[in-house]
Amino acid sequence: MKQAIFRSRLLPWALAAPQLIVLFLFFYLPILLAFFWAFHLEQPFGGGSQFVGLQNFRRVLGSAEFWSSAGATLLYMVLASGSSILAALILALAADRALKVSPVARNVFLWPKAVASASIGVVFVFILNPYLGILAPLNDLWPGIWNPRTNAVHTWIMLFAANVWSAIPFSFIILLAGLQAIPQELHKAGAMDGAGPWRRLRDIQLPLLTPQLFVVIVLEVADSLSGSFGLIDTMTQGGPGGATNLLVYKIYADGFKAYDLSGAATQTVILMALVACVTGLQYVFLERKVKYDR
Amino acid sequence: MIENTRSIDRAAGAVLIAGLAFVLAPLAIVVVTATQSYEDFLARNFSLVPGTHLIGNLREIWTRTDLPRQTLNSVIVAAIVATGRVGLALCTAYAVVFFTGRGRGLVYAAAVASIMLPLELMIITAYQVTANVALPVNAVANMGGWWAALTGGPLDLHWNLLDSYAGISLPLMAQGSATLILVQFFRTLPPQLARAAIIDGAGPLRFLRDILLPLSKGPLTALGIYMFIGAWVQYMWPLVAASSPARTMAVVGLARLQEDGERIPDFPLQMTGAILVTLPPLILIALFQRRIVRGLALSEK
Repeated sequence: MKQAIFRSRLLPWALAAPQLIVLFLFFYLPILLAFFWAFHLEQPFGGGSQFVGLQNFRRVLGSAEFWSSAGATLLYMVLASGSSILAALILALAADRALKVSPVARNVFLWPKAVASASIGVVFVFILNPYLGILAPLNDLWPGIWNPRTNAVHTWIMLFAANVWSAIPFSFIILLAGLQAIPQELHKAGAMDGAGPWRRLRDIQLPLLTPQLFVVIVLEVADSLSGSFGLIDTMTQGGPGGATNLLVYKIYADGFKAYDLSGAATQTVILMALVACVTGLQYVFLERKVKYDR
Repeated sequence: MIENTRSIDRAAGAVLIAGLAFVLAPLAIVVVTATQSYEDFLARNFSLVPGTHLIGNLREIWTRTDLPRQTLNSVIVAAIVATGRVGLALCTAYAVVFFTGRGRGLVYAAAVASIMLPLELMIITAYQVTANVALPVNAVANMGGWWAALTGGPLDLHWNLLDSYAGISLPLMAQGSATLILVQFFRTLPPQLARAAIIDGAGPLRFLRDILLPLSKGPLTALGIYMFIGAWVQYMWPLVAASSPARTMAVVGLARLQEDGERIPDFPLQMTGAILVTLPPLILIALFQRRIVRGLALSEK
């Protein structure tokens, strides 16, 4: 770090202090508070808190609703991030080629970034409405063939479709940048050795893209959860029958609708642990496969 | 060297066309539906034939809903968040990269760690903090009861930021991705820059203002636009942090348009609202796509 040359005791801290204060108040303190309330019970009528040990965890872990919600959360994390990354990867590989439509595609594929997940939720609810939407004619022919309001599988499909739509830009930008950073010489050398473009895709581009793929996988897992709230709140409200009641949504309902602060905080702690575990596992199992050398 | 790339180019072309159709079709349907009137829509259901009622729908949005006011809120909050995040990140990244001394790695780690856990995961306690920002002060004062011993009673300060621009903006700023990007960017600058500045007798603040800021203009504006859009599309936090329709942001207002009771929702009106809410950030993305990608140091050749 040869750039670190200014000497001052106070100035760097003064510079960093504003961000550290904001981070402390609105990132670290909420985490601490979640742990606090996970081990305390709020007294009724605003009378402070009482330490209850593991009682909150026992209550949460003993409810079947929590386990189905946790299962749905894991399923969503894996399938939502997996499907959106796969779509973005295919699009990035295609957009990396110098075709006539590539510049247009590189621009348009970022547009969903400007559309809030809640907005696209509102739009997809309308487009995929079983009686008024684009699939309504199918329902006239075969009643019940598409009904995301009552059929959980249909609801999930609708959710993933909306999620892929809104999650394309982020992965697409990073993967395309990774592809463009692959030196042309490697392509030329591969071609000299007789490797066609499909072969080079598999043996040069994909292996050299692993650092970007890794970043995208790690970030998209947390991102899929934060985007899920807007989609679920506008599209499914956790239904049908709790099938899409992800923890993010359940915590919101428990905390803000049922005023169960301790229960919501306990589930927050569990959810944060879940995300941290998934991220950690990715580092353990995926990072070894990343090829950093070019 | 010329080689036959027909098969892969054809496949790539087909993929791109399919991708474009997938991204653009919902937007096109939104625009077409927004031109229909509610009566049209009830009579014909889903139809891709444009109507003539766009102005009428817009007028209704303008006069009968809170969306205009909420759009103004979105502009203000997104501007505060974008300036705040870039400003805070600039100062932190400068301190982390250009100063000697201990603690720099720790500060950097504290900022970057916040990328892993989004605000949506800790919404309930973030709400609690925003409802009373003096919470940590009270906690420190009442720890061990020293404040009560001095003054005769526990400290109980209240500073509620809910329902204010500050309360909606500040928690959205508590995220370190801009810091990460700027630190990476500063580290790619030649180390001679700062040394030359020292030789010329410029202090650290002078170097920041006269050399680093002009050099970072591209990345800083790109980050700012990106963060503006990121704040504009927030949904969960403004939903809980603002209690009245007049205080919340446009995306929340749009989602609330559909809660209209039993009758068939006025989808044309909703889609008109969706256009209004989506157009400002969409224009930014479409105009600045190259600059955003290049500015985030992600290279667009």
